[in-house]
Amino acid sequence: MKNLTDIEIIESVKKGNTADFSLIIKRYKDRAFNLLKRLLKNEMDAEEALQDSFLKAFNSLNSFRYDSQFSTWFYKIVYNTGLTKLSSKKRKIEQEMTSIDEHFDLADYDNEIYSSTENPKEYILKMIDKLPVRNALVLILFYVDGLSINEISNVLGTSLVNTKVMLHRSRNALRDLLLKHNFQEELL
Amino acid sequence: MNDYIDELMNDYIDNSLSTEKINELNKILEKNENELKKLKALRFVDEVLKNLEVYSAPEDITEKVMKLISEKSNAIKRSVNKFMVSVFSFLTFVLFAICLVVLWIVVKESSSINLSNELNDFLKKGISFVNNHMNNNLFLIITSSMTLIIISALYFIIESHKEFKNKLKDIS
Repeated sequence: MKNLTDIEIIESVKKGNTADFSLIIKRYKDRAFNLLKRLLKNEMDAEEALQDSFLKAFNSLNSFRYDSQFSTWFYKIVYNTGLTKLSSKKRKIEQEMTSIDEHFDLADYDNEIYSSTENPKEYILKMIDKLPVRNALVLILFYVDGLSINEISNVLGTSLVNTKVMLHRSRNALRDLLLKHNFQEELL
Repeated sequence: MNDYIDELMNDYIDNSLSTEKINELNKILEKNENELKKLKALRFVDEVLKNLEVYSAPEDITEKVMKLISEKSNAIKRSVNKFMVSVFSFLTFVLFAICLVVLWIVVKESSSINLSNELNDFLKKGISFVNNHMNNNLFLIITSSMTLIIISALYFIIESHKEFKNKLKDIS
């Protein structure tokens, strides 16, 4: 059963084998949770949103049209559920969802994080959490979930060009921080 | 120019640079050591990102979600079953009423039909027996009550059977 493709599992669930949906949950739970935790920055909220995402996906399986990968369709649900959760918590969503045209500044967190880290890897990992939410999500979807730029743009509802710009800017921002602190000496 | 070089470097990291552009980037890097440092730093960022830690979802999440799904689908099935039983009961009642009306009409008209053989006589006797009782109000009340009781009993039997099946499913 573990070797079944997403589509085969979905077909089985649609035929009435509800229990097979657990295979989808097992397959995507960690990656979806990862995305939600980065988005919501809170374990409990992320777990709640994760449950909601799977329930929404189950209830909407009939609307899945096979014109995209199941993963893209599912991540879109996860992302939108996360956004709904974020707005329901009345957080400063506008501030979090920095527009693509705006430049973000990591300087506010830089000194604090730099002084508390011992090596460039640890420093980069901590700074990723300080990136604007969408920029961090682009990195997660690209590196952890292995989605293409095209798939990420579908999930986030951004244009292909903007998604690529976000990916490049996020990496460049982290790169510039490494160079700023002369971490390159350790890299070379 | 810097933005252009940055884009070249990012595309190079993502393996989406053409040979021509790779040569162009190489020439830039040969001439400018700062750009080479930038590329090395970018490559390091790329490596760190490739090995990003994945947060694990709570272990019981699968059970929790499947339980919610099971509860929801059971609730939907129950409401659908109740609706179907109601429709079925109503249709049975209507069908029974139609049968009674048809029988009544047949009995009324049978008196004008000339039946010649013994079988027809027997039928005629039977029809007249039913006809006599149809005119009896007490008989009609008893028949109607019996029908209602049978339909209600059927409804409860079907419902309890469905509930029992659901319980068995939940247990399994």
